[in-house]
Amino acid sequence: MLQIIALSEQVVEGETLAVNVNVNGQPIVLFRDIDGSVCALEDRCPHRRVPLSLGKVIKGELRCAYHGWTFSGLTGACTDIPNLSDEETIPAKLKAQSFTVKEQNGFIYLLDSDTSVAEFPAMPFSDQPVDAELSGRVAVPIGLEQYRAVLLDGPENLLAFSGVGITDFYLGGVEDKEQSLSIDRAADWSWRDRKPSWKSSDYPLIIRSEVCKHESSALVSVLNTSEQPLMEVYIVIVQSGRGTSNILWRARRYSACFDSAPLAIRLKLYVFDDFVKVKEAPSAMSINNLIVGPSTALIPVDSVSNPSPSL
Amino acid sequence: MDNLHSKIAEDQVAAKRHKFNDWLPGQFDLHDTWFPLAHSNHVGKQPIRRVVHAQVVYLWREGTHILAADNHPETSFSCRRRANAFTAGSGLYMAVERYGYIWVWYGNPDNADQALLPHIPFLPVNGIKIPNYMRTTIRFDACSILSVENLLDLTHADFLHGEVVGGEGEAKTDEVVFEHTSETITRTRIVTGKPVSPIMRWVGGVRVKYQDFRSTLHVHLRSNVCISYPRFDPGFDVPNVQPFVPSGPYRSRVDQIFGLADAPTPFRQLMPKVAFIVGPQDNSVMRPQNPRYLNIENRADLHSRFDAPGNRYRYLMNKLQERQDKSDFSYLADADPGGDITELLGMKVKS
Repeated sequence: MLQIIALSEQVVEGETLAVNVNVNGQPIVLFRDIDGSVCALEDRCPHRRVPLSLGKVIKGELRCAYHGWTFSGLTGACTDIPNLSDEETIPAKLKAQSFTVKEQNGFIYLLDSDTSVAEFPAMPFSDQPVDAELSGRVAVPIGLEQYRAVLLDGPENLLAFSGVGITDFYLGGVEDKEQSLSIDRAADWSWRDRKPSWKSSDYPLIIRSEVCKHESSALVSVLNTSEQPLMEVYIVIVQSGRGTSNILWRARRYSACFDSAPLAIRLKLYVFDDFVKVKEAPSAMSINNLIVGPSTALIPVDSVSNPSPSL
Repeated sequence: MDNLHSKIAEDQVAAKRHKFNDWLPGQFDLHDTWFPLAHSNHVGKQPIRRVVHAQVVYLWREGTHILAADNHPETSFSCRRRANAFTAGSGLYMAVERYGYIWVWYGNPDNADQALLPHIPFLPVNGIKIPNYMRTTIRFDACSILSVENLLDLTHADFLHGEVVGGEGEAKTDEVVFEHTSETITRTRIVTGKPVSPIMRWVGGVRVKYQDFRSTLHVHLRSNVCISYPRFDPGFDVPNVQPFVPSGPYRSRVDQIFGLADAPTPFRQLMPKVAFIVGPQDNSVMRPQNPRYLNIENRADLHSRFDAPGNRYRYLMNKLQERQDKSDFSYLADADPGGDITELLGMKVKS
């Protein structure tokens, strides 16, 4: 099992990060050890169950906020219990559960004990010259499966590309690729999304939503009619508590985007660095009213985490 | 036969371990005890509303009488709660005023006995002349039992309250001893060579770098009344009462009283206010901790030697609840909840 659970930049040296991901019912906390490598422990002190994410990172180890028990990030072993004398040793059984995590591609991956990964999957981005990059994280009040479905049926509800208006005119049907389901829809250079029109037209852009079949990730691209990517956002959906989801994303804007865009849009792209926005508060009304379409082809993914409400 | 005996022994050990793992602090509901439901100066002619476990209690005065009822006196008859067994159908609980509190009997009214009221040697029995500034009311965002555990292991003070009453740094020695009856547990922590706490230094005027610290905590198991006697040397004694009144399985209410008559100004006036800093600090860990004790887990909590009193507390509470689950609400021969605890607290007695 290999699952993305955080962005690299979320794990700041000297700080803890509680990721609302559970493994076997245990929530996880991330932090960096003294060498800067990311470590993962259960977010639960084995002493009195207080979240370790409330604690402090001291010399690359994690100290519980309650009674100061300190744990190694690599093994989970308790390395210090304050006020014990120098002669007292700490029994080996005093430890927190540790997990294997790897940092790659700007993400933090959680591995299970059966997984040894020689190569991490490459990011699905185009290899064109990159003009700008963005990343971010939002929490949304939509469950993982519904988020995947809306990415196919109405991505404009979940994200926006600056200067691009997304229509609901599908260009073809669902393409069943080896790893993903893909659907195209027409788009235009515009300040806002296009409402459905009674007449068809030739649109200069394509919005392609590719949702991974077996993982909770997706790639949404803005292409010109030559199918050259202009902007792309890679989205990872992490199931979170109470039916919500954490959305981790990385985005690229390619140099070709400026060649394609009208002058007014180019000015906007120059001025505003956030060429893509992943929405934190999607309209519940809009999503509720969204007509079902390509998402009928989706099969639910096996989610690693079945988190309870935040513990 | 040997296999059978060893199997029985294994089952017994497993049963004990299972019991130990089944620490569900929010589910204790021990009867036949007095709860201090309110500061006496909070109770006047207008009824005030309090909750203990799941019982609602209205408190007010009529002349010299203290009244404790399960319904507001002005509630219409048709809207009243049904009278419960704790009032023997009368709608009134047994209530008494002592040590600056209004105490209400929670249990079979036939068993109510003022001799079971805790002894608090540093407070006047009639509660008169307790300055208002020595009283506080704070909330704990966890069940009462977890809140008591918080007090039983004071090592947390160095981390949660380091900038106030703790002192983040290693002490020279740190010893914990305890004793117990079937109804109480008394923990004493003796620390030497500890960095002076900020409150002692900057408010109390203690200028040395290190001090010794002896803190005795006497806990009444049924009522969660915690009587604390910390002594700082150099420094002052900071005796106080913290009764953790359960407001269901998620929250506790503490009407705290300090006995700081011998402490200097402004320490005497300011120390009680520290509860409003320390309380939220405790809540920062206890609030997320509490829901993790709502269900049985397959993993036992781990312990250090500082948890010996806490582990004994868990054992005693389970034993008490087991007896009460079998309708045995009696006090055993070794218990004397109302007995004099002056010596037990290590309290200095004025000659």
